[in-house]
Amino acid sequence: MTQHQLQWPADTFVLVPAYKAAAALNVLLPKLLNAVPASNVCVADDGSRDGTPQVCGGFDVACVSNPVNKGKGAALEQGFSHLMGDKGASWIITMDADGQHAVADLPVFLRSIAEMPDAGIIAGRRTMRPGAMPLSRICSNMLTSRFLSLLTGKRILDSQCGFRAYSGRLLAAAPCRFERFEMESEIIMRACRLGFSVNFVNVQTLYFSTQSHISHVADTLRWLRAVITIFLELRRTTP
Amino acid sequence: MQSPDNTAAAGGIIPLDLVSGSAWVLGSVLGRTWRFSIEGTREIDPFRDRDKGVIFCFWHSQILPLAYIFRGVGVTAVVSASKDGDRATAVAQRWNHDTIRGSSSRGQLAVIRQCIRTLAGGRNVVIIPDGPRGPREEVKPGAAMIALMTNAPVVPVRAIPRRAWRLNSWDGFVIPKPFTHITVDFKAPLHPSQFTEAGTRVEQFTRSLQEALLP
Repeated sequence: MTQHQLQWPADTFVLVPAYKAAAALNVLLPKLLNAVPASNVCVADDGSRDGTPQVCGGFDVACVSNPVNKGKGAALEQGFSHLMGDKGASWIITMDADGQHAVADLPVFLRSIAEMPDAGIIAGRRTMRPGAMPLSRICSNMLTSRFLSLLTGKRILDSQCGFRAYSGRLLAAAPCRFERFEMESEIIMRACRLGFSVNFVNVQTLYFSTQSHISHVADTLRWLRAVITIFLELRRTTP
Repeated sequence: MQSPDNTAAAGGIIPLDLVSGSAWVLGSVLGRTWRFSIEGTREIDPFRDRDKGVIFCFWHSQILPLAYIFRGVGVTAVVSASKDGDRATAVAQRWNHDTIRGSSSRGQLAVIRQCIRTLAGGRNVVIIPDGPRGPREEVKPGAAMIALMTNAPVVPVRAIPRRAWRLNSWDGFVIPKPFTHITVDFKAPLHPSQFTEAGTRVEQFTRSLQEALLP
């Protein structure tokens, strides 16, 4: 029995942010549509010029596009806006287009949503051991997760995993200012400050030799600047 | 990326142009000749209970008589971020309404956030569930979602003029004729607590609102 046959909740949507990922979507979408109705899937195209909307159209999947490349955070915001405004989404599960996240893990999120309907974020926690993940990624994930834990006062087990479920209530309450991948840490910080719980579920990580859009040093420095900015802003603006 | 305050108040009073000025004069003059009777629920009285944070919903075609009758109450209406929306805002401001700019097709999430803040502040919000471009008389899920997030009741409202002109626009815009009688029917509020089935609450709420707004 496929997960699709297990009944997908009408108010839960899968959002796939994508940049130059037409080829990867050709692989991901057939698997995804085996588990999720096409009407509950949306691709947020971040200004790609590789025919991403056409690929989505071929699978009858909605695609919202930023006219220019702005960053993962901007693409997610665009997708959130569409899914909440047009579709009435209560929960949005984000998963990367590059196939790093396993469709087989979606039921884990559905179960967690049913068990924790008041949660703000249910985030994937990847296996961080050599062999399952490149060593550089393990180090940067551990460092950023520890640092975020320090800033939020909560135990953040994986600050970088893009496989997450966001509650609509949180998205409506927590507008983010950063447009690139820092947004995924920013929203954790805002969720913690607003009193939403951030929970973690174990997920698989499938590393392939796909092209990454991350530049390690520059992006880490930008991430650091972003989280410190948000930390100071939240301290200043919330009691 | 953080959305700025998108209430019209944040942008100041919008000047009237020829179209909005004409609409304002026409509405104000015609409005003085209309006679209203209020029917339906007494559970929520929009003319008395001004600090409950209620969502009023009515069709796009009925904006004129309902914006006019609500003018003394002062509600916050969601108005599209377009040129037509500017005109609607200019008229609404002169009838003491605030507006939140945006729609289901432009800046949806910012609108949802602003509606939630407005309701939390105890102000009533008007959402036109088939606006700004239709399809005509087809409810979109925004109102239900905001209601479920804020626990605010939704009051469907219908204006039924005895005699009216109906424009040949997408919504069949209604202009009640001078001196006509208009029945304003406040339907029973839809409370978020009525919709309990996990996974389909927004869908159920939207369907109930659709049924309540149809004749």
